[in-house]
Amino acid sequence: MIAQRSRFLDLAALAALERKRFSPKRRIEGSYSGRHVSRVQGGSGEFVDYREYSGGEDLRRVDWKVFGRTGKAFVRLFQDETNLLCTLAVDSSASMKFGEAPRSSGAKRAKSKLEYAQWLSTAFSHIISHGQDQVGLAVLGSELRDWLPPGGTSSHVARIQELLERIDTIPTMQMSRSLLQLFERSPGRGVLLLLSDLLMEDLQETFAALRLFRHRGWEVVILHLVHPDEERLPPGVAFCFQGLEGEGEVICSPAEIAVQYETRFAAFLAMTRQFALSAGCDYRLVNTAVPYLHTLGDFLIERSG
Amino acid sequence: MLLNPWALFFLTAAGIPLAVHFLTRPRPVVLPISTLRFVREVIQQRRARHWLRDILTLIARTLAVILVVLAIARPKSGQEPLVSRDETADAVRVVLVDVSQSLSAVDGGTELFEHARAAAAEQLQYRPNLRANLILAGASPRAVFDQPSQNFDALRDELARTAHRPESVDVLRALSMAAEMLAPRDEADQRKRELVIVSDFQRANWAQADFSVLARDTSIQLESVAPKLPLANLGISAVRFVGQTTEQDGGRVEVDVGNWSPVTQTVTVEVQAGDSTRRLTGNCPAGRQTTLSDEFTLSELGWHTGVARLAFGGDALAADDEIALAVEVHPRLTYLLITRQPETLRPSSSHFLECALAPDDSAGTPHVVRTSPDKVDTEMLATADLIVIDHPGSLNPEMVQLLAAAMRRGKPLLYLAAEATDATTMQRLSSDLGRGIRLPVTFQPFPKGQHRRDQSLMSFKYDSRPFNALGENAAELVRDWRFGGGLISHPVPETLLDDVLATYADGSACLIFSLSDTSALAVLNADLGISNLPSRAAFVPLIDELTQLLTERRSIVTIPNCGQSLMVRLPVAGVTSQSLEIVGPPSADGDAELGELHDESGSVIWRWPAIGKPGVYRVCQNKATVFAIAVSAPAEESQLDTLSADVLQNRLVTGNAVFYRDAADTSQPHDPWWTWLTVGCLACLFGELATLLVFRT
Repeated sequence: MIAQRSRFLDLAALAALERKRFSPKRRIEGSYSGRHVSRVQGGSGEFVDYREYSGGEDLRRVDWKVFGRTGKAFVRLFQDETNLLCTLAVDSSASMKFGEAPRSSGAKRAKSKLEYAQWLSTAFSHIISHGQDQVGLAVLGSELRDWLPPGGTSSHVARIQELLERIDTIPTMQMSRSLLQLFERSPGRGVLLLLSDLLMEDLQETFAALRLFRHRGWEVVILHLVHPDEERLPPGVAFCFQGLEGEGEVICSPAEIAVQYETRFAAFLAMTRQFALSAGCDYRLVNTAVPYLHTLGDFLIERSG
Repeated sequence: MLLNPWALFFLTAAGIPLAVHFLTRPRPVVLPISTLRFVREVIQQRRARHWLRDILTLIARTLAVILVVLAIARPKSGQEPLVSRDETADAVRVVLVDVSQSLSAVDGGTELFEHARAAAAEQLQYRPNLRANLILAGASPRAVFDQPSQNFDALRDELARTAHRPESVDVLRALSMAAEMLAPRDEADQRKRELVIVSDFQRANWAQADFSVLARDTSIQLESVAPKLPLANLGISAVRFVGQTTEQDGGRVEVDVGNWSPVTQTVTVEVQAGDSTRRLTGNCPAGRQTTLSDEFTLSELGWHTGVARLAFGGDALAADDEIALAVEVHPRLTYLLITRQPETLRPSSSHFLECALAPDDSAGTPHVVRTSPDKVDTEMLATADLIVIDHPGSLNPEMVQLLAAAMRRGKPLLYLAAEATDATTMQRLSSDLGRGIRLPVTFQPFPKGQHRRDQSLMSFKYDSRPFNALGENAAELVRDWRFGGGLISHPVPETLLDDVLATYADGSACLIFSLSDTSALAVLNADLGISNLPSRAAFVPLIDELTQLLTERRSIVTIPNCGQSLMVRLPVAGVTSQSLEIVGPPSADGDAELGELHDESGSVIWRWPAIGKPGVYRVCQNKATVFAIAVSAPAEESQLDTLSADVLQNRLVTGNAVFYRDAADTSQPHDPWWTWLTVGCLACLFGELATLLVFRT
């Protein structure tokens, strides 16, 4: 039975990015041979598999005989190359739903951070799996809500995309425990791609958990999702701000606190960036106003080998 | 008390700012936010500030509304007058108008009395159920009617005719008169009792006012015409001629000038009497009386009249810038020495005395007429300026009566009580004089066979006349005085021991000096013939000083002030009232009452129930002046300081409802409440503006 495609999977839009590969910046330890430089030192290696040629690869690795027979270019994979094990960790706290209600007068409906994360992580799962790499999923809340270990089969990816589509937020401001649970379940090494707004009370514990991944040799990439309406308060006379994390509500006039709020939020962003860099993580501030495809494209370009 | 109490209804508008504040508070739009953490952190910082801003703004607005409403309601400060024209209840009212001289003071070009007249007239307007009376309060307060009446026209007419008088005000009598009129007729008399006093409330007159004579339910309204600021005034209080003013002697003139202004003034007084004029100049410190004096010589015998006048003019009270004077220049003094001792007996007490009375024959020396008691008659006594009695023997009662009569007519007496018979004479004389003179001691002779000899003085009044004439060495001079003769004396209880000027070592009085209202008596309890005093150098000066003390009172006749009653025994002998005539000053009205002359006990008495205007009043016989008095307004009327409202309302008037009003202030009453409430409202509005500026975002 063919699973219904996720609504967050736009194959037409992703077609242009399929040729790009998500390349880790560090040597990885993969399950299979892949195009990524393996942590395992290898010489010629044992032939293990064919893989379709993608632009930019070394032509000497193309198996011309197969080309002659099939008309398609394939490269020979040896055991000194391995594949990417990438785990997508998506924050499912209630604050990720921010941006859901239409506020702006623009024609386009704004996306919430969660939606953005769903689009982006779905796109990541497709790109990664398309590159013969393996992708897993962890849905983070106060606990590890859902977890799929990295895998490369189409059904596995479909499952991941399905879970991504069904993510529902819960009001929580804790994430460190779920990361610790993920860490316990993730032996070996790989890449952890964390999509979160980092609006949590246990920020330091969270980064401590991320340092554990780094200590094990994981590459951690933090995509810090920020909605444009979070950086500055909207204009108005009076608002009753309701915290999405169940913090209650506050009535105030944005004009009275706008400047101080922006200052505080900017300081928060700087602090999280500093935490991330000091933990050895790769940090990217992602504005959800930027289309996810641009974000993904820029990311892949930067990461391409 | 509010002028427009209906405006208080609008105090409910004070809730408008509150209602506006809550109604116009923006309804907040519900907006989900990823986290409230940052919002809360910022709000915590600013919430207290905003709360303070809102509170201050609300308070300012609410207060502004309240102040505007109160300003419209026009609260009135202070009491309301107790006497109102709008009342309809039965009432009896007495209007007491002060007509003393101080009300002739001018303030701002208007006499205070004119303000008083207007204020009093306002209280004498017709009103049904009101009966009123008018008391003109001077030295002798007078009511227009015997009882309160409804004849307001007559009261106002009398008020219009009334003028201030050169008198002080007898406050106690005036208040008693008012209390009598306001007293309830019977138990059923429940009329409202009102006393309106119109005065400047001069301190000199009103400080001793006793309002307790009024019934407790009497409402007292004090209408003050006192000026807002004390008026500066210079005035002549009195003029005197002191010293024996004889044809030969020169006397001294003393002028008391009161400087009731805040600065020291150099004052010049011109004294004119007879053909003589003298200008006295001196510095008068502020706030008190100063005496200017100078020698003054009148060349002719008899009565001289004149005036003392301030050269400075233009002060608040012109009436006291001038004062009349009358002075009699006496011929050479004549001392009548009554003694049984022969003139040729020397040494003798009378001889020593005669030598001391007339030490030489110079022009200023008194003339001593020596006579025996048997030859003394009324005329002889009348012509003597001083009667001296020494060793008279036993005087018969008729002689003693003559002496007493002469003393009552103003003749001073120097009695040397040397013999036992003098004790009887002194007793008779004291009895005949009655209450005219009370001697501080009684005399009695020594027991038979005993007498005083070589007695020294135990004590004497060295700082009083006549002993102060002995100078600083008086004690040394007196130490070797020895006296002999005389009588035993015993003090009389409840008499003036100050009249005993010297005391012997045996406790008896040595020298006595007593005064009556018409004369003086000195008793030297010694026999100069057996005393060593006549041989001492101090004897003549002592006797001279003593005789001056006795005779100079003749120059001083205590004359009451204008408005007071006068009764004086004329110092004339051998005349009857029919031959005398009273002549007033030119300023007096032609038909003004000048009193009456009566014959009593061989003397002529001048009785005058109420002295008239200031000036010189003379008693003439065949156009020649035989007696004169200079009358003036009371000196205290020159001091124009007044009692404050606080003193009047809270200290003098206790137990009665009292209201004080400044009747002299004819300007529109300043309503301070309106001003301050408006200022307060504006201040609140500015305060709100300032709050919004300070707390602006």
